[in-house]
Amino acid sequence: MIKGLLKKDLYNLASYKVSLIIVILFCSLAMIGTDAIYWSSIVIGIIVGMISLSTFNYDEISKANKYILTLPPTRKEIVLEKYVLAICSMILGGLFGFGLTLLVGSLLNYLRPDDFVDISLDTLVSTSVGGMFGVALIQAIQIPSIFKWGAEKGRIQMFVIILFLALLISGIGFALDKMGSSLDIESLERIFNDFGLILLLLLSFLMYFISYKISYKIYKAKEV
Amino acid sequence: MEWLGDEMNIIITNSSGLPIFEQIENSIKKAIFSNDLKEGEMLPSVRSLANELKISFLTVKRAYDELEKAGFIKTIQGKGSFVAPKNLDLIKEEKLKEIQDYMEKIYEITKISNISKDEVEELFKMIFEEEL
Amino acid sequence: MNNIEVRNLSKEYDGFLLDNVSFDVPAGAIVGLIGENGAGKTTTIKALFNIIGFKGDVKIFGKDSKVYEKEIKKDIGALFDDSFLSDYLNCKHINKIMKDFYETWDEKKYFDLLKQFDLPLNKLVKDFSSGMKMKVKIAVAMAHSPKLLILDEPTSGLDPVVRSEILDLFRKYIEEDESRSILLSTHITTDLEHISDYILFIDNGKIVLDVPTDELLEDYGVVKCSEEDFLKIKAEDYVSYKKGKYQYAVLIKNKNEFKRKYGITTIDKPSIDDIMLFYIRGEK
Repeated sequence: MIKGLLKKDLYNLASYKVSLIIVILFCSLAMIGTDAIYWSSIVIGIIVGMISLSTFNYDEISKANKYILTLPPTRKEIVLEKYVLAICSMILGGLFGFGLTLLVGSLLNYLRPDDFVDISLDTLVSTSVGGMFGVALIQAIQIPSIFKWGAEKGRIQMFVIILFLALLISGIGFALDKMGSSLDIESLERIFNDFGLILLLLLSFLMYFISYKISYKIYKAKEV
Repeated sequence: MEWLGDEMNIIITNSSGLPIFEQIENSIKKAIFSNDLKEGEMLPSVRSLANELKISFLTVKRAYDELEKAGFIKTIQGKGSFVAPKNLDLIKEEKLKEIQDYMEKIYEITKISNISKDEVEELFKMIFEEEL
Repeated sequence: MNNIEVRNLSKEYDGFLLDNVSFDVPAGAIVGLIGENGAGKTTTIKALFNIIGFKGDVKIFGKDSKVYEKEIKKDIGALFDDSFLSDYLNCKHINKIMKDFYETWDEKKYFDLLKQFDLPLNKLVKDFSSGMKMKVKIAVAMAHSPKLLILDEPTSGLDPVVRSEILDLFRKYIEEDESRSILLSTHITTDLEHISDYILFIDNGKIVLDVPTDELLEDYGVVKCSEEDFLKIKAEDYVSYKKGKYQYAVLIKNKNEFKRKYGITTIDKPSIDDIMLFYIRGEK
């Protein structure tokens, strides 16, 4: 049952693959090869990771929800499928961010040896996982609210969340700055090392789980 | 108009004023009287006739029920409907009914045109005497 | 045996009430659901699928529709005028998806129907005309040979030739297996005159008519008469009337009985639309 729903969403996404590739390439080229190389893995990770949310838009455009509820999948399976898709795209985003940054970075270093940027694998793993955590956080908040209010309002909400997160991070950075430290990749890495990347991933899945429970509760009684 | 096999016509029109089930009934009766449908022969199933005529199966069922009530056909559960053995009384009754229909029409004309019963009777006698 | 049994179905929205609706869809029958926009047709259909919550009992294939929801849905084919899986799929994609939903999905039947409808396999549904879209939906609803078809406006947007083709398809579907049923809502009541066995007329959230189509078309009549004659007709002998400048039009339930009782012989045969109008706009 979930397989059929996944296929539907993947076919939907496939119809906009070209614009996606352009965005990813543009981002990676813009960021890789500058000092911000590690940030590119986060940005790519978030762009790819967020794709799954746009499947809600496709459903809304086709008014699919009403029809899907006449098919055998249960409401539970319908909700679960969105989380399977979300987690897959989060992981895919992490891998993409990591792989693409490494690939293009090495390629640029090869092409421009005089402008060499040192790429540390450890740091790259940390930033990629950080990106995945960000995706998990946004999705865990977004999915229940989309189930509740729909994709259109959800999109506005997403901007608010991202803005809020950005403010929060710069706030933390400002606070750290006051305390004599600065928000750079090294300190981020330090935080990750202290917490442990595994712990961060576990936290992501916990957020997904709680979010799923909330979404199911919302969708169980939802009338479309 | 629909053509069913070689032996039977069932013609349904909206302009006849007769209910559709009655039109079916009459078509089948006609086929039985003219021996196009022979004793023991099977009629099309209710469903297939309904689909062919593009009408509800309940309409066809109503026609078949009426035919069965009047003794023209016999329905055996699970097998189908068959033309019943001919019955002379039945035929006479049927013909009388036909005459009654004409009579009713005559009656209506007389009412509209203010023609008296005696005048009609006179006319009727004349027709009979011409024969002799 | 009834494929659908609805008892005391009620649903309240802001400013709308579906009020204690009860009806059956017998096996082997095609039931036409008619009524004005907003009368409660789609709400009724949504309740059958538990798309909305409701009060009352719905049994499908003799089973409670809430308890046996998944099992029941495997044997239903559904169609909504305004909702589908996705517009960003082509017919081949749809086949691969639906295969996962229905164990009884018949690929050959699906592609045969598409071929019969002359539909392209590689074009996205969003680029289809509204008639083509409807045909895909019909093919999808029928390809797993469900026991029950529940169709919301299945012939809207189709030209008369295609409509008659589709109606033939529905008739054949029942002929193939008489334990099947179809419940379809429609605006185009002339379609129902040729296909439905029962008419279910819903007005303002209430069922006002649940009769065999045959009875509606053969027994109901419209009497045109003078005011003087109209005043002689007893209230229990007519459904409603419309007063014109020169005549009264009166809807009656049984032509033959009426003829016998009142001796009025000029009785017109009403269409389903006429009857609907008498119920909605007529006076009593």
